[in-house]
Amino acid sequence: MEDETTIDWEQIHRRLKAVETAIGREFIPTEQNKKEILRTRAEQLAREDGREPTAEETLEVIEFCLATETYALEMAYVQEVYSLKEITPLPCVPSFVKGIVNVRGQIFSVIDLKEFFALPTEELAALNKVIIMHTDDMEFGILVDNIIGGRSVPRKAIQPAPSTLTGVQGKYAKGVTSERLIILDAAKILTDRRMIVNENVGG
Amino acid sequence: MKLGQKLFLIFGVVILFAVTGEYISIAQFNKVTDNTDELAYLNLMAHHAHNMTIGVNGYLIGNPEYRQEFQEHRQSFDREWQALREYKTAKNDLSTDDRSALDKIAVDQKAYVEKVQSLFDLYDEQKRLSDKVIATWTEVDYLGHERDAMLNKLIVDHNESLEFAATAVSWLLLIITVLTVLVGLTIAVLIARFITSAVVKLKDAAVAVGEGDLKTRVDIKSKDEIGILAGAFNQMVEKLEKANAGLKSEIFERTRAEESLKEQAMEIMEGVNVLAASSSEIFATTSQLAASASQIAAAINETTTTITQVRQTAQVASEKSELVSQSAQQTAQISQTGHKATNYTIAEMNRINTHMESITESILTLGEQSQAIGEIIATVDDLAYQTNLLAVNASIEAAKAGEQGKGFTVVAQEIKNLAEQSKQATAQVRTILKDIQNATGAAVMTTEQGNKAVIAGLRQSAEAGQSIKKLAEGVAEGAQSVRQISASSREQLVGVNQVVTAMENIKQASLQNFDSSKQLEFEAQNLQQLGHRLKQLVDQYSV
Repeated sequence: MEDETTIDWEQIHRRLKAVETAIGREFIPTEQNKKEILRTRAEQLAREDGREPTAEETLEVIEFCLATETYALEMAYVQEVYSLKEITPLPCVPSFVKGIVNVRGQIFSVIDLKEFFALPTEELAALNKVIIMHTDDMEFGILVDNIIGGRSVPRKAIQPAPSTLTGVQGKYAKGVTSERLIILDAAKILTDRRMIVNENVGG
Repeated sequence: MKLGQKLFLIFGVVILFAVTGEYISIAQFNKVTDNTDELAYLNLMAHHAHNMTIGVNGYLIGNPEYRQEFQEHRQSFDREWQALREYKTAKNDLSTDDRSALDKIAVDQKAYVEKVQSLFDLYDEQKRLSDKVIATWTEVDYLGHERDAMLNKLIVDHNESLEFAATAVSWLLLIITVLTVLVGLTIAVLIARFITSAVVKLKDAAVAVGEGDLKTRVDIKSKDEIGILAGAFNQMVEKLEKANAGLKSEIFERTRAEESLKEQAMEIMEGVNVLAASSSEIFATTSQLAASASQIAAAINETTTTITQVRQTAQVASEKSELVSQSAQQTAQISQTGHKATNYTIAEMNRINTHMESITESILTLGEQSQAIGEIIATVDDLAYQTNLLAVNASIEAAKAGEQGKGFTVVAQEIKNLAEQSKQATAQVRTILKDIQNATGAAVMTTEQGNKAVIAGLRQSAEAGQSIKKLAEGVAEGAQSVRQISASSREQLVGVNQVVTAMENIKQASLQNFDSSKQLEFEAQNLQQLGHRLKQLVDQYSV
């Protein structure tokens, strides 16, 4: 009976040793690893049609998530993206103006697009990223849930906003791709008169 | 007080009473005598007074010799007066009234005598019965009457006194006589009654004693002869009573002795009867005894056979007990070994417990280190995220640069891919950490169960050790007992051998016993006949 339950210590010691060596070594890709990586890359490159699309044919956009939707903004109007650390609320501003942030010494006001588009705000959202937009005479940040990254969208793939996209959201939409990516009209948002806040308290 | 003394005292009282009465009577009688004497003196004085008047009258009517007579009677009067006064003084009976009366008589007498003298002188002078003489004569008469009146008064007083005294004497005598008679009679009656009652009591008591009532006692407490007589009577009756009581008790004793004699005789008769019956029974019993003796002889034969078998059995038991003793000793050794083994087990268990503790400690340390790894992973995650943002910003900058920034766009894309891979890698590491965490928890739980099992094992081992110890003690005791049994069975064997010898002796004895019982049966028959004869003899006497 004792023999049956005896632990095979030899094997255990061996396994421990293997683990120890595995933890201790630096990541040096083996020949097989290298081959794997190279093959993957080759496949990726092979999928490209090899035709370089020109700047006229494509539109550089920043893709981001807001609530359940994926939106995109033209990169030409984007100054930079920023991880929101601290926001200072402002009094006497419309409810979509959440406050101001300091980015390397520059002060930007930050607006909540959901409020601006009058979208329902019940969903829980991280809203900890800021995309700082700018034109020549206006600059502010918008709060987004997540930034997916920059991409090029062929202009041909952009269709006008469908008539079902009504209201404010429709008003500021530039178009929709086949992947349900709503491309917002950054110029229109930036030039909206509501952005210019001129309220008099008690006035 | 003696009866004589009592009588003397009583008669003395009576005599004293009488003498006192007589004395009083004599005193009264003396008074009568005195009064008579005084009356005599007074009568003489009256007589002399009268003769003096006669003398005066005679002289005045012309008889000169009457003057001489007057003188004689005057002297006699004075003499009697003097005698009376002396008598009274001598008798010490001169009261104030008497003295004043006597003094007045004396004064009147003196006045009378002087007047008579002056009358005589006047008459001698005139020699005739002139008016002056007659006037003086009248004065003389008056004075004489005055004196006589006092004298007569005294006489009357003395007469009354005399009469009273005489009457008193006669009354006194009468009263004394009557009183004396009454007192004497009363005392006589009292004495008679006292003596008679005591005598009657004594008589009654004597009659009662005569009739046999010896409890009778006379209750007279007086100290006189009657009292003494009563005491003597009581003593006599008491002695009689004691003598009587002695007689009674003697009679009682004798009666009892007689009764006990009767009882003894009855008992003897009963005893003889019992003897007769018993001798019959003895005869029967001895017959049975003889029969029993033969049975005993047979039984002893059987017993001897049985004991021989017992001896064989005892021998076998002795051998078996030797074997058991040896095996018990072996068992004791084995149990000793078992006890040592359990002790060793307990020590090992304790060591296992210690190891388990260190294993638990190591596993916990491992868990904590996993946590540190998790923290590092979180940092790497953050780095990946920052890198991603950086890549986005780089692509923005590249876009701003236009055609020149095209290459930079690719670099930015690559950076972004790297960040993505980092993120995936960290996610994998996090999954592995989760697994490690679960494994650590499971290990800790298993170790805990192992620990509990070891503790249970420890307790069990301790109990087992205890049991084995008790077992060893029990076995040791058993071995001891078996040794004793072995020794006992050896002794038993010896004893059984002795019993066999003894049974042989008993066999001999029972044979002798059988002969003796036959003899006894014959003797009992004789005894029965004797008892029968005795019974016949006793039956002839009746109590």
